[in-house]
Amino acid sequence: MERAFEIRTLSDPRLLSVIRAATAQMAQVAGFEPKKIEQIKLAVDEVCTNIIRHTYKADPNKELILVFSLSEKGLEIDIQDFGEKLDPSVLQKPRTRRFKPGGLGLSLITSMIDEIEFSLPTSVGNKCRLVKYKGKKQV
Amino acid sequence: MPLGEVQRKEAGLMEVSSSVADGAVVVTVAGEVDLYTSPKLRHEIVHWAQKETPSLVVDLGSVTYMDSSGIATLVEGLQLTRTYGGALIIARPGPSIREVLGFAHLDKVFPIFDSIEEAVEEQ
Repeated sequence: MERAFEIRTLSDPRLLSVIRAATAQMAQVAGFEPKKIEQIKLAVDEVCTNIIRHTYKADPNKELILVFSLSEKGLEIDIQDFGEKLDPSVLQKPRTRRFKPGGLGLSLITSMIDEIEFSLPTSVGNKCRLVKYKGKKQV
Repeated sequence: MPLGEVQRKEAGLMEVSSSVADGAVVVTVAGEVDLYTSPKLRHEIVHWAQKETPSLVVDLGSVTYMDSSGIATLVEGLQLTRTYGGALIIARPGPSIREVLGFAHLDKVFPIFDSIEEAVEEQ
């Protein structure tokens, strides 16, 4: 993976559109087709939205870092916050795709992306990694 | 009966306007619906639901993006209208919006139409 682009921004909901635009542009540079670009954009948006709502409790002045890394196979996005450590048990992959208030965001993320890893080692806060492949999911 | 615009509200990347047509209220949404903009849409839907509007059509034809915040807003509107026997109907969702609705199985919960006329006639 080649570290290609980094965004350091604030947890202000107004900036979600900027994050989405940068994500879409990065996915386009990586060579993804339009439908997958939309899926990557949605997954990144949902992770950031969850951080803003739950980790930062709507405080718009906290820091968010997104690191985009490229390879021939696809795109990897690391998203880090600096809030309280999350309980891993609440981050289990949802067993249902049916709508439940508050639970749809995580379901959307897992369906739009090929790999997701929560609780990556980090000295402060939380880091999650999203991976999307240009072809079929790697095994 | 031609649609008559009664109000318009903007929230940065999203615009919301409401019209009345043949007894139905059409809430037209344009732009991106996310955590920042969805409260404006919610406000509009709740406004009409509090008036117990029998048929509330949400026109998504000009929506270019919708995340779970927008979906949750539509579900809340559906639940509100059902409390008084009304209906929330979705019109003209684009392919990406349909994908998200389908993923949440909401395409089987909401009445969805490809035109506003069909949606208004559904009441």
